[in-house]
Amino acid sequence: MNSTSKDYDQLLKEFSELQLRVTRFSFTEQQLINTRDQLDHELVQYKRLSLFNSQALKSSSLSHFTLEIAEAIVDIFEVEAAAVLIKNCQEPEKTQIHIEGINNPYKYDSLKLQEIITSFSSDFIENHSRILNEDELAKDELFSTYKEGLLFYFIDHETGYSAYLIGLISKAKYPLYRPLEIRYETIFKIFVTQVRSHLENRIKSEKIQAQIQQISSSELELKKLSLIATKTKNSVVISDSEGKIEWVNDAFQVITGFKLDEIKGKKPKDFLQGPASDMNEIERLSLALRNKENIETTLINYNKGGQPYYNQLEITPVFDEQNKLVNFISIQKDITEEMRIKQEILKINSRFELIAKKSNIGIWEWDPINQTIVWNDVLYDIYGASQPEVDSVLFDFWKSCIHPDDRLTVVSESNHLVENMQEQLLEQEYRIVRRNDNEIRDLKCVTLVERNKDGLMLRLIGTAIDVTEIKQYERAILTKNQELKKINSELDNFVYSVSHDLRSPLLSIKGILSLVFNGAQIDETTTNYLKLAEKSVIRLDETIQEILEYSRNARLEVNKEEFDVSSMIQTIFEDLKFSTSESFEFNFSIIGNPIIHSDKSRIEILLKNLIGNSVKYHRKDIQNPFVLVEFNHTDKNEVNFTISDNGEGIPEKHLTKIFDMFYRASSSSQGTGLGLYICKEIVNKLAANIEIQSKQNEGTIVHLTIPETI
Amino acid sequence: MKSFLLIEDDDIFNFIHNQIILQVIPDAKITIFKYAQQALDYLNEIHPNLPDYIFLDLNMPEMNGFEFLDNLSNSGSIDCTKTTIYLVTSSLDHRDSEHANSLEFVKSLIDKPLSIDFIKLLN
Repeated sequence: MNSTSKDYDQLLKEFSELQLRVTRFSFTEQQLINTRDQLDHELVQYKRLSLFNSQALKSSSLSHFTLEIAEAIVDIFEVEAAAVLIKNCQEPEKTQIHIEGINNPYKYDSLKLQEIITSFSSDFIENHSRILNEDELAKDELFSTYKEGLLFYFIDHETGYSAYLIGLISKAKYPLYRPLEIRYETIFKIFVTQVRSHLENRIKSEKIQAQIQQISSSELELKKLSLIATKTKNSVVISDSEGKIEWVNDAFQVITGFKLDEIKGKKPKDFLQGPASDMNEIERLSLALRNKENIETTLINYNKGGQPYYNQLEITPVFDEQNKLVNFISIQKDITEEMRIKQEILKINSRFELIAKKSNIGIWEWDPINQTIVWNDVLYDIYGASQPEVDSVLFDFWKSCIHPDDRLTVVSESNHLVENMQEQLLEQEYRIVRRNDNEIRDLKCVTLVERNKDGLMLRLIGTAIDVTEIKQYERAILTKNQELKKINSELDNFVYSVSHDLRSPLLSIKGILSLVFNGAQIDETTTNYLKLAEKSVIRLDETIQEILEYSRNARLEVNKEEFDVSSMIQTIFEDLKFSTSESFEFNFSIIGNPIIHSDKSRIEILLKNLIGNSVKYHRKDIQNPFVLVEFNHTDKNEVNFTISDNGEGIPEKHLTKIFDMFYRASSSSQGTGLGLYICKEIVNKLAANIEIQSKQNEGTIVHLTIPETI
Repeated sequence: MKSFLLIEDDDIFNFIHNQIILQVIPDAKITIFKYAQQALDYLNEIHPNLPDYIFLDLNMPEMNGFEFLDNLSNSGSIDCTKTTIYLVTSSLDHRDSEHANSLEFVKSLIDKPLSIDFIKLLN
């Protein structure tokens, strides 16, 4: 039956089915082509990404890297323009910004640019990307011409960086570009990850660089320090945390005499200390070290030879970063010489203080710069004050103690001393009213100013001695002196009137005898008796005169005046001529000025006695008896007399006794035994010198030296 | 003929000096006063005919030699240059000789007793 139609229908059905399949196939084919194109494009993008990657690795600086990011955005994502901001929150000066293909009205205002770019991330979501639409971009002039933008933002807390990556397509060229949407998501993520890792690497390497630099510079510093430690004149000791020596410098080895090899690993206290080291200080030092504290001290240490020295030291503990004690560093200085000088000064000072105390000298010192006054204990005693009571007001206290009658003068003299640069020294005597008992005391004070080159006063130093008792003695002595003078003059008058009254009867006997010898007719025997009587009378008269001379010399002050020695000697010669034979020669020679300054009456007595002796004891058995007086006045400080004769001379055994009172060497003489005694007394009074050389039957030489002061 | 005035309170010295002068100058005219005041009155009486020499003792009661000389120079009427005055003394007081030397109308101070040699010089 109808099989054919049936077959046709079947056939038609199959055809239409085939048609559908062809259509489906061509669609699939198109889809395959599209996919292939897509894959091709993506491949290009990955190639560009890989290029960026390799370039980024080579980029030398962060700014260059920023530029490369911007270029890569344009390249990879096929946009028109790009903006990149890499911001460092910790170090804002390291922030980088780059704009690619955008007309930038804020050329030099990078802060303004940053402000605009960061405004897109106001929601602060970390690591996100989004599309920027037209409205958002229109907010600022910078992006107002753009239709669409792509933003990726991330923040890296470890490095402190945040990044803004923006790709842009302008309104004008929008139709030419494929819309941004969320396409290329995979490649985008890869790109951002790469940027991040590059940035991280860069920052890490920067940090490493900085650390390397720091290490090398601290190495240099270490080198310098060790050079200083080696070369310094102070000793340097570095020990470990237990105090065992690791290193010492050269100075330490010079000062102590120990070599590093001998002491390495030892503790300094085991070989530097000795009997005189102060145990208390050592204890204090050990305690500080145990407590890991800084310490300064001065100890007596001993060098290798056992010689002690003063060691001034400072020990500093050194800690590492974990605050663990690693070393002790000790800087030491040999201050033996300084200590010696200091002690010397102290010794001298204490000596002065002792002297001042023992001799009751008050000492004060005023420092005008610091306005401080220091008194010694003696001065407080002198003023009758106790130390704390007056210490703060010493100057006013001193002024108030001065006797009202003396105060004005004393203060004005003191001011004069201080104010006049030429003045150096002030000596004063004034009275004070002693504070504790209101007694009036006499003080003798010396004030000395110390000035610098310009005359500026540096210091006032003064001494004060209480001379009240001395003054009282002086006054007593003065009174006694006046009394003595009065007594002396009374005695003088008494001696003269006694001598006068004694002489008068003698002289009248002498007169009567001369009348007898001259006129009366008497026999020879009577004449001889009377001659003996006359001799006795003359001797008695001489004795009276000499006693008078002696008493005058003993009592009267030396009274110096100018007089002519030459005429004095001539007068003495004249007087003596009457009492001797005509053949006796008087000779006088003179060198220098005959005018001398001395005690005239004493010199006269001296010369009269000495020349008189030559006359009195001349030898009767020789032809030419003489006396020679030589006067020499060429030395300005003394006058010299030499009296020589060819008389009887003095036997050697008598020479030592001739100056004794009433000692008479010659039995032939008419002497009293007082003449040379008086001479010796006068010589003593004049601080003169007398020497007698004599030989029996040959003569005598007397040297007389008299000091002459004007 | 030489004339002498001796002013001296001691009779013995007056005797001695009188004798000594006469031994040298037998015709000498010698006037003697024991008291200075008497001598002063006498000189006032006889002036202007004064003696050639006056020997004046220093130590005398009532008026001593220096007081006498004061009165003499203060009297106004007596011209001391018309005579020669010697002070005579047994004193050893240096102050006396200094004083004597300072007086212009005193020739010199001489020791007692007057000596024959000294009088011979005057003659």
